[in-house]
Amino acid sequence: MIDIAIQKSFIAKSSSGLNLKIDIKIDSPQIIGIRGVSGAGKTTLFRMLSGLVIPSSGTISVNRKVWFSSDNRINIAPQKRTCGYLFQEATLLPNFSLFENIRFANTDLSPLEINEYLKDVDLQGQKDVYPSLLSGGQQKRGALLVALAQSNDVVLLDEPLVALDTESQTKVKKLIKRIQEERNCTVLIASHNESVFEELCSQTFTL
Amino acid sequence: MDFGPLLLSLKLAIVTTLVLLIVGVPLAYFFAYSKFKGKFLLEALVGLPIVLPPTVLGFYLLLAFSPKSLLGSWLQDILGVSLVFSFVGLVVASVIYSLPFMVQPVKNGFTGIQKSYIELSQVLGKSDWETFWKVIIPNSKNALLTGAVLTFAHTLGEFGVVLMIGGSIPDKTKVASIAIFEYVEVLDFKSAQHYALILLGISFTILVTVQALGLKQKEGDD
Repeated sequence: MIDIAIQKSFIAKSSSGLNLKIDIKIDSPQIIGIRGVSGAGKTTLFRMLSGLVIPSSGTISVNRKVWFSSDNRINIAPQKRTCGYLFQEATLLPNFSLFENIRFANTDLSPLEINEYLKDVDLQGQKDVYPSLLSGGQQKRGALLVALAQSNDVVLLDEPLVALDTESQTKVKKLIKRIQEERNCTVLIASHNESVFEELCSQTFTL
Repeated sequence: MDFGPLLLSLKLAIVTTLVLLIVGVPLAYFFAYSKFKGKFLLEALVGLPIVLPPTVLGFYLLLAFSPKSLLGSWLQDILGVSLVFSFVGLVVASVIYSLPFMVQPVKNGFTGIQKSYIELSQVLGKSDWETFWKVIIPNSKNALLTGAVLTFAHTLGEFGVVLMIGGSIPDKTKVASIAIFEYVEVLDFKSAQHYALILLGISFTILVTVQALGLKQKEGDD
């Protein structure tokens, strides 16, 4: 169960500032869609959930564990939150090959398991390639595998289908669905792609 | 030609560079990532040797290291170490004098790393220690190399601080730059020329290396 009731204020130089209020309750593990126009706060929500940005006030609790509470002065560090996160810019570490990036994410995975994941998104041929030599779509799929490498209670996917062709989109959607079912985790997807919400999400929230 | 002063200069440069890799890298990390409000004062202090005349720095270090000072007498009594007119004293003075030449480029390398690399490591549950060794250091290799090369070159060319702290004791504190000065004083330009040419050659090679590293980094970024 995930309970989010947070507020984030941004102080703008020119005006009185921006105020983001988010109230989301998720009762059971499922795939959730986060809708919103550009600048609505989808990425900020994910950054607050992962602990990379501190909300101005409110609470975040996941499976009865409090990750953040302004009243009780609780703020669990990003390292301690069990959260997989695909950044919008599809980040991979440049000093590691694709295979090493996935192994860095989860050292318990065997080479066989990593190769299977790579096959799922057609990246088996690129396993020894460094991120700077991968195309935008390959980087996106690689970063998705890094986000899914650990068995986390919560997985945050920020625009997982951007830069992907139709065939890759289908494979990525299939992988997300399979992983969610296998691990019984909560997957939050921020996207502008309506097909994601229709095909994958059991519930959507609009920011 | 007596190679003693040249070998001593090289020894001093190597030891100073190694010590500064151990001392300067954590300091650069602190300057790059700490949220401590007074760190700009510490940064200014570390950067002082860039603007301070070497003789001024040498003068104050001489006062601090003197057996009559609190620090000097403590080092002498407790550890049995004298920092004045000794090689150890030269190393300590060189470390202070060359500190900004290591800290500045390494700090710039650290701050130049994409924030998302560090954030990714954090959300993957990696400790700060692991992030430092597996993400920050490998992605700052050129900055570390630039810092080491600049420190080495700067120490090799030291004169004012070395003269104030070490004087000119053969095989102990008489480095190449001091040997050149002494030969010129007695009008032996030929001997001075030998040392000067070798130092010129080493310094030029080092600067070419730094430039080449810069170009390589730029190509990598493009």
